Amino acid sequence: MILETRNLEFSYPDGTKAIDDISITIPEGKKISFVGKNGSGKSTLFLLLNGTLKPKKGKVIYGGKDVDYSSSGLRDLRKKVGIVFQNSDDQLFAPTVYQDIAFGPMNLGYPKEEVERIVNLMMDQFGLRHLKDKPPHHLSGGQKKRTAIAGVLAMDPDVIILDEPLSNLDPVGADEILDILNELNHMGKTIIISTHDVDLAYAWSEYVYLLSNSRLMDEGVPGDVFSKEKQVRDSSLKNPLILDIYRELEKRWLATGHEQPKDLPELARTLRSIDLMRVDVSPDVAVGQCVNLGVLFGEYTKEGLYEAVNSRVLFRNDDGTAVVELKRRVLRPGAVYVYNMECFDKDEFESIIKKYDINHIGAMGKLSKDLAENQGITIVCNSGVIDRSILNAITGSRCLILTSKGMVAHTAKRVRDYIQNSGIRLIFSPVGKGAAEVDYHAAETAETTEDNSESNNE
Amino acid sequence: MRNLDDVALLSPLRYKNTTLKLLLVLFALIAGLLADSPVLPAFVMFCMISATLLFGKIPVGTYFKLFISVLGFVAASCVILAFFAIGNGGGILLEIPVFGRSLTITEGSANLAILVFARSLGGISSLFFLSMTTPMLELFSYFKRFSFLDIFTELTMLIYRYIFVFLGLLLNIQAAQKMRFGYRNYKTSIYSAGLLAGSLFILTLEQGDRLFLAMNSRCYDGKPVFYESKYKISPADLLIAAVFVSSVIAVFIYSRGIQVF
Repeated sequence: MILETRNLEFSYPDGTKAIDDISITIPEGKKISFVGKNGSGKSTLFLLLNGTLKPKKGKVIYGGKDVDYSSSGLRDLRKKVGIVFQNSDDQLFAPTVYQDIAFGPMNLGYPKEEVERIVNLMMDQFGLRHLKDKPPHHLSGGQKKRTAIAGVLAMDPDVIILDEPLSNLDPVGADEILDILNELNHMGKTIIISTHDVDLAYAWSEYVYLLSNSRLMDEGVPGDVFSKEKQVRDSSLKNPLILDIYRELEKRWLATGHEQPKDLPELARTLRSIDLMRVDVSPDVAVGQCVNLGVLFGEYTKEGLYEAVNSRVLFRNDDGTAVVELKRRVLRPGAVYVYNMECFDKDEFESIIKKYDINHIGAMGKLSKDLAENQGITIVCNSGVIDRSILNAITGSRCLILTSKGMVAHTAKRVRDYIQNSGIRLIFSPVGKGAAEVDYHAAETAETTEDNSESNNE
Repeated sequence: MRNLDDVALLSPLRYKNTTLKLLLVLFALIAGLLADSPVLPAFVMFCMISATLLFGKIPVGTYFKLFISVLGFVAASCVILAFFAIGNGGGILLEIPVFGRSLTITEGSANLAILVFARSLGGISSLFFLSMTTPMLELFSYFKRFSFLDIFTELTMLIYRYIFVFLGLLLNIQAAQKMRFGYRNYKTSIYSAGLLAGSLFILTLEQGDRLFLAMNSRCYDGKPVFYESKYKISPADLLIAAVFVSSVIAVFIYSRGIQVF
């Protein structure tokens, strides 16, 4: 537990109660959302969490210790808990990007060379180097937000709190920020955001706090919190769109499984109407037994060119035929490969494209997008890259995801989890020198999972 | 909207050493003042304009728009000077009878007017060179070097940053007022401008609060933080500067006493 509050209460001088008896426990290294309508107390809570405001009652606990409100205590807390404000103009007060990022480290009294090293590192990580000497009013919204996050990250906090991080950003800019947040989370930072975008909170976070009228209404994993429709409505919020769609599909028997899909690939996976066929069977097959129908092709297939089909007998006719429910497996599966752009090598890259017959390239993260652009690589997709690649791979494409080091392992995890949970056979593999260095366990878990489920049927 | 600071930020001369630029401009100003012939200020003007346009890559349109607005003012002053500084002697060049008296221009007054005109333009083009190639940012490190009060420097930096934030706000509010005919006539204009000033004042107060929060959460403890921009003087820069200085000196020596009339 990195950050806790106990019975926290806070009112503004004019008497409005902004926080009312809130007790939360934030585990380390998670992605957490505070969801609530405007004025529900999210921003005030954040200022309490980094010691800017002092609670009327209750306490804030960081790393197991009560927050010390002396000036040195606050300094330590603020170094560890960084806040990125909603409006970047509030946060960028130095005359240039470089100076703004340097502000925190300078205040912490680091020597000059160290400050320079940190700032350069941040500028590289966030793709800001070419903007080094620009004043903030020459930056776009996304660039401002990146600078603001870099300025906070420069103090190397353990917890990064972002107030409405995606407001006022265009979709690609928002996606870049989300990539950055995921990358930071992967580096072990605890990321806390506030939002009233339920879709974002539902799809992105691992844990959700629902705030309404200065009180904590509910907390839990997003699927559970957003499943309670009345509570969501009472907080002046809406259901996540993807969950709504899924429910409607389920009502119409177009999807099965009582699941809580988080993104498009997961939703696509649930789209399975009952697949029936009338076949001839031998007389000794009973209802409920499995029959291997071998390989189907041509008009009998649904997802690929060839499909290995297993079936379960639902009903037997007297004339030797039976109605069976089909379970199909595409024989030439699509694939997702991931390439680390930090170790880009033109020859290697071209040979990979040829060898794996790549027909869909997506880039993730500012660094890899810039690099790809410089190298003249045609990128088909630059937002929601992992989702799109999985979706394409399901339909037989061979996708390559370009990303930088921190994200390779994250991508690997996402794709592997998908393969494991869905049972859909995809090939996943990191390719190239750079990707091989990254630490992960077995790359192609697909085979094993698939084979297990197969043997259960037979 | 482009202001002078934006122009300077985009100029490649921004990345040249500020001290060198300052010294050159100071030298040009002093040389122009010491000269007793209009040739030297004219030469300085020529050099400065070409340097600003060629090396500084300032758009010609932007430059001359500013220059001409100043030029008109200087020209008018010098014409008046020509009529009034007739104590300098010399033959009469022009005589205009006005109500029984006459306005005259003498050779001496004409020479003086032309000298002042040339000096002004020389000075203006030198200052344009400095202001169009040196953004405020580069000047901040000089504040420190000349040991201004720390608090003053820091305030200047914050003010510099927020001028642009509030300029944006001001333009937005004004546009919103115009859209609803806030500046339709004199009365509504006064009223709208009052509202604009009032709301900007409140907004600055609120921004101040937020700024305090933002600086606090990044461990600001009241001790000012300074940065230095360090642009080295390259041999090429030094060579160009030397050529400029020596040619100004040469022109100074050889143009002594040369007058138009």
